[in-house]
Amino acid sequence: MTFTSNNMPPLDATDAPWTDAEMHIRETMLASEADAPKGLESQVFEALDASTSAPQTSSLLRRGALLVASGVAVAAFFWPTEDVVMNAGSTQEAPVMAVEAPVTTAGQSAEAPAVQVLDEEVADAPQAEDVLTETEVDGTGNVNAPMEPLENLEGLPTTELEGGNDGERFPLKSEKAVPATERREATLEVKQ
Amino acid sequence: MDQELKDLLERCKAEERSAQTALYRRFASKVYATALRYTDSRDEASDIAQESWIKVFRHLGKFKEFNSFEGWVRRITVNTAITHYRRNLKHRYHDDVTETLATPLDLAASKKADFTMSEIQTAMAALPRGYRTVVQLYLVDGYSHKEIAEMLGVDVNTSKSQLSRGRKQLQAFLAAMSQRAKPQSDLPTNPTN
Repeated sequence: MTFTSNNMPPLDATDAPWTDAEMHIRETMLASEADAPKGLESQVFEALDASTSAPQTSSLLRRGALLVASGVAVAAFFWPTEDVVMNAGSTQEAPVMAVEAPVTTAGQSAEAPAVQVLDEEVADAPQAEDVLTETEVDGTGNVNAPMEPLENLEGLPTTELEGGNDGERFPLKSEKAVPATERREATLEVKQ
Repeated sequence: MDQELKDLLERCKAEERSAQTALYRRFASKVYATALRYTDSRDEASDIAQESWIKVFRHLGKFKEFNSFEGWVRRITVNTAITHYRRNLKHRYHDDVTETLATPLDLAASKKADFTMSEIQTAMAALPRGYRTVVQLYLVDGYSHKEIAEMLGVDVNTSKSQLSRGRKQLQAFLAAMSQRAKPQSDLPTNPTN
């Protein structure tokens, strides 16, 4: 790059140096003045007033929008919480019932032969499926729950699963399991 | 920067209308002349000047006092003019412009520095707008090729070639004008676009 005098812009080595005329053009044009149209001044200040009032209006609108957005955010904070509780409640019932039978059976079958446990599981399996189907058809609970029972189970709080009220909540299943065990013991005696 | 201008700028920052008016009147002719350099139309130059002034008043807080206020205002005006130029651009560059003139000219005559403002304006106005814009940005307003390329959305090499071609044409026009001014019978033909 070649730097020239008179604060002229640098040129590439391949460029022809600035001529006197070009230097003159630069100086002349930088110093040039032209009378602005008479109406321009009023136009400038009218536009300036308009542009300064527009941001004020827009800032008011922005504040209003911010308030609305924050209100929506607060509402959204509480609304999904209720939704989750409702879903959790609806999802709890179906999977717990489906899982409960094997758990109960396993607890009671510690003394019983393994074959019995398998029989019970097989016997209870259709019931669990029925429960799921009912929930699906019902539509009052979370539709996703029956479709993805495993995921729902994983998402359940452990306190709910370990609760001691299972027998009270599903007394029929508990009562049904006990006589079944007794009946099969009697069958074994006959074989001996 | 003189103290009077400093005070004026402080009052403008406080949005004092009388100070804004005084500032406008002090630099209006410079801003308008800069706008005129980048357009063929006085109406468009008015639009450019108006937009530039609004930017000046709205962004006055960003002006650093150690810089030249006139230079700062000029850069705002040039940027606004380039925005207009790009917005109205239909044919970005005139690559098909005839670079060689029909009659050989005495280019040495174009190197003299005795042209009037009117002649310079005529010669610049005769340049294709693409050439003229790059010549103005580089030669007059001191932008680098990199800055010009960014402003116009072109390659740096395009800016360089536009400057080179624009300079050649400018010298040719100046030579033609200086020869026409001579009392000779064998004047070269006037180059046309």
